[in-house]
Amino acid sequence: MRRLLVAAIAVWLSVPLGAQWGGTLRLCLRSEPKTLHPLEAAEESSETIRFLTSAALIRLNRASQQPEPDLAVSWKITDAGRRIRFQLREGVRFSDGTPFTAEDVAYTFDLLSAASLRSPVADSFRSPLGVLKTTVHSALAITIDFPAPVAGLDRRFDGLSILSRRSPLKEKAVLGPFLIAQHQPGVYFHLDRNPHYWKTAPAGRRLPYLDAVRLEIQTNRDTELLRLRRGEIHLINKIEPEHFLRLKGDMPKAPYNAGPSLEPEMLWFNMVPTAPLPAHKKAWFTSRPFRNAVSGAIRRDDLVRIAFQLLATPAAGPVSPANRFWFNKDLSPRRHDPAGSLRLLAKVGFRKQGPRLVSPSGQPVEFTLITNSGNKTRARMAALIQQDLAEIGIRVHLAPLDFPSLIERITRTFDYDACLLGQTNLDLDPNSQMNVWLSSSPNHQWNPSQPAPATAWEAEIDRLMRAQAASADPAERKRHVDRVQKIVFDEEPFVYLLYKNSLAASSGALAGVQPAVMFPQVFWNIDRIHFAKGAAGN
Amino acid sequence: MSRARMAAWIVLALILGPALAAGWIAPAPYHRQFREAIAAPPSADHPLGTDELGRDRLSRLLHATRVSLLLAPAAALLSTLLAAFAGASAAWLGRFPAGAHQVSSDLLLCLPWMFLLLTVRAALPLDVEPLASLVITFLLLGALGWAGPSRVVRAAAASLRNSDFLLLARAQGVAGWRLLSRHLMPALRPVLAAQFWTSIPLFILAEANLGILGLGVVEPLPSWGGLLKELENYSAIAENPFVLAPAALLLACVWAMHVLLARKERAA
Amino acid sequence: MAARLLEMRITAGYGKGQPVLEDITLAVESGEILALVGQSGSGKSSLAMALLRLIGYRGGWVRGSIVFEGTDLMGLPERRMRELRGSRIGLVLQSPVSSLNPCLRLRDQLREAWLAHRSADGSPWRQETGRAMELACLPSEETFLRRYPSEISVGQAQRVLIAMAILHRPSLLIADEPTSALDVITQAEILKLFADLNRKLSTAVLFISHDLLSVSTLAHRVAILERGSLVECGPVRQVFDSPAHPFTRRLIGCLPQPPSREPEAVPANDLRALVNSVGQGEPVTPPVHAGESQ
Repeated sequence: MRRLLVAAIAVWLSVPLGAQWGGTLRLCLRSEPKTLHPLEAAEESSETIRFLTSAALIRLNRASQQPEPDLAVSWKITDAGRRIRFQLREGVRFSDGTPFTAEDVAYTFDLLSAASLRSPVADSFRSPLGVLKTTVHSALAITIDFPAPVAGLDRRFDGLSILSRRSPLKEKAVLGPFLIAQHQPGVYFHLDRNPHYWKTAPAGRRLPYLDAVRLEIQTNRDTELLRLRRGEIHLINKIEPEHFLRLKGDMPKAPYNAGPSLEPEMLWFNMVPTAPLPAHKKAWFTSRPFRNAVSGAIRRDDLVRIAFQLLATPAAGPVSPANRFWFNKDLSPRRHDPAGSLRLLAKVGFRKQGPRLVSPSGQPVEFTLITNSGNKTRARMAALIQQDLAEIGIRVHLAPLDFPSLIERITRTFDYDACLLGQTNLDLDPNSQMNVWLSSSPNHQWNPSQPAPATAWEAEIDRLMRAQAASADPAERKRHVDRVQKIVFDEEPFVYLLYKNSLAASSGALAGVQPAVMFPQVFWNIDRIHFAKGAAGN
Repeated sequence: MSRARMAAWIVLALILGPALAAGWIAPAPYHRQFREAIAAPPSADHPLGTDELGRDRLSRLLHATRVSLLLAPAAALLSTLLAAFAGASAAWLGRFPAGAHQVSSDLLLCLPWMFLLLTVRAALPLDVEPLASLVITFLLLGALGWAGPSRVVRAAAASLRNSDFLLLARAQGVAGWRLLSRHLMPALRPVLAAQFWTSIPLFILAEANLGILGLGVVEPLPSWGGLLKELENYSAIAENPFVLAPAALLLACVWAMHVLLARKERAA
Repeated sequence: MAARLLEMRITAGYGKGQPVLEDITLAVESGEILALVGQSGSGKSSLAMALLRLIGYRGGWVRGSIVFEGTDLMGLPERRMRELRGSRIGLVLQSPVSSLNPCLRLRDQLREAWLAHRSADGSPWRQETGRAMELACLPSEETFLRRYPSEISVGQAQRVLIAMAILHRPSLLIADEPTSALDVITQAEILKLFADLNRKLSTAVLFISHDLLSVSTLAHRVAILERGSLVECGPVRQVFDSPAHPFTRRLIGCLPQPPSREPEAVPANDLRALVNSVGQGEPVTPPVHAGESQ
């Protein structure tokens, strides 16, 4: 109940009195959606359509990062995370007028459990230990039982759109703020407001404020930016630092900087034992002091300032400071300390010989840093790192590669020394990073698919990640995940460099825009976005 | 010597001289990042300003000129010679070589270039020196860029085949290789020269684009192509018009070489 | 009796169509100037090309026999043929501008012509070039030789072509319309030059022209070609005085100022009566020229 109150206050605060109703919001989709079925959505365009048209039992408030009641007015997790019971909202109707009941929730889980369905949302509710079970208690009460405890269970419902069992329109009957009115493949989507959307404005009128949303399919980012400048579109979900700065020059109010995003940039050394590298290089790369020394010699502040024009934040570890609950607040980015790096290296037998650093076995220290070509900021970061490491006598060769060749090297041939790349995190929950941290995973980039953990600390990370996944107690999970962050910070299998800032843009015509770091960054509160007084929305 | 030729010599000397002496006269090493002067406007320390990584533009320009001005014409020469040989012999030696030329140049023109260049990149070691990578790139461009020009050459050679002066040369008893090299080639020179001139800027830009594949110039070595790529960012030009310096130099060089190498037959 | 330099009986043409030269029988005596006169399209130039066996490069063919200095050229391998071209038989083409390679200096063109048959070194080349230039009434100093074809006059260009043609002292010089691209005064000069060369070097000249009047002052004998057939051949005076063929008569009739008396007009029925004889080559008569000959 307290949650409900908080949410109600948040709703009330975010909507100024006397907001303008009506108008068509325009934005661009970056590709034709691969599917319009909400349970199959797997890529950004499909998820955009899903988000705009459907509703879930629980929504994650992108601003507070807390779960909020949506179609469910309340829920309760019991049996150590194996069972959840929902009390559903009364009087909600699908867009065609069909009433919403617990039967619809059960039906949605039936569809989700179909073995043929492969999608992120389906996978997030699957378990190798068995199938889930739904029990309908009444028209507005339902219980779901899972075969094993599920960590962060309530948050997983954010992406699950509820479908109607009885509507003749099938999945086209929606519960979200908008419904698809027109669609010309490859060109545009025209969404009209859903007349039965359950949320209301403070005065009692049904949301959303907007009459329609028009999504034009536009693959070129430069064109997208140009259209925003011309006033042809109103929002851009994610923009590049370069575009951000350009926009800032001539439309100072348009760009939003929501602070660090969930997407880190990092470099790592190849620690694959079978890699076709000389023995002395393998010895360097698997040496913790070597990795720490490299990390300490990099000026993260300069990376942020020069490569990203300050539109990034130095990184300490695998969890972004934007991830309020999970971020380990004891960690701060490694300080630039070349003298300390040299001391570390000297302890394990490296020494300076003239300007060059020489390894214990007598080889001058040099390595090749590969990265994907065509990414300007990454190329700049690589050049900055090159000069930073030259200061402690390490010679870095830069080798930009086209993406397929890069992937080939880091996943199959392992013929590389070090790699500079970014990571994509869509989710706040550390469970979503499981595939990176488990030593047996093919995405355990520095040494993938290990039959048994190669080092004690990797074994410890495996244990901690499994333990947090098996627990339903947030405090216990947090302890495990903090520990993982600390181990990664000490061992630096990934040398975290920075988090790109979450950058978005909106034309001056809109009010109520509250950009966040999670998808969909700029229109997550679409039902409350409206045109500013006097702004035309056509 | 005409006034234009004199001017061309002076322009070339002014560009090449400092470029060759880049190691001595450049105000800073081309890779040195002045972290406190990022994208700085021209100043006493940095006469042309600095780039986005704080590297002295003048120094980079000098080094880039040295690299590109030696390599691009060399590659253009290579491809023009190959084009001359292939095109002329196809026009000259009858049906079979003509057919072979048609097929091979078709093949070369529609070859999946990306794939070929990727293979080359994969075959090179990762830590190939920037300069070696650049030389290999230009060599590739030169060795593979002949197909288009050779068609132009073949068409020109075929039309010359029936010219009076070649007929007269034959009537004088000139034949074979000598007829090709001493009578046909000079007459093809304007065509070849045109191919040569167009190849130089083309190769300079192609080299820059090959960066996508990890070929061509690798940081921190500068090349004209690499510097010209910065022009894609038009806002930078507005902030510091000296970003245009490499483009201006390229134009000046092509003009000067054009004036110097053009023969007097152009007056005809 | 002068020695017979060239005797031919050829049929030549292009592609698969009608031959442009049909069974032409023609002989050139040593040291004589034989004018071959015909209208445009009568096959004059093809005859020159056929004679040098170069007609193939223009897409044509030739059959028959060409006996030059006792050798049948038709039976010679290409290599031997090449040796003959330029050294034993010289050629001067109609357009001096297009016949000179625009990209070569005069000196280089002469040198190329020289190198086709002689080795490069030293004094013979300088001497012979100088001599040829002198004979062609051209300056032989370096400043002139360094010029490109575009830097000299058309008359000079024609003289350069002539100098190149006589460089190796051929016994036969084929001149294909050498004056038609020139103005009247230059024409006269070039005609005189051919006469001089013929006299000084005893080179036989096959002078191909459409201009009966101008050749009449130069040639010893004249042959008339009409639509690929030789219709008349004889000493100049004889042809002018008593033309046997109606076409010859018409040609002479068209001359603004005939050199001797007015030819009689050809009666229309005569013309018809004589049509049948067209295509039969006239028998070759011995030269009756007055010039010095062996």
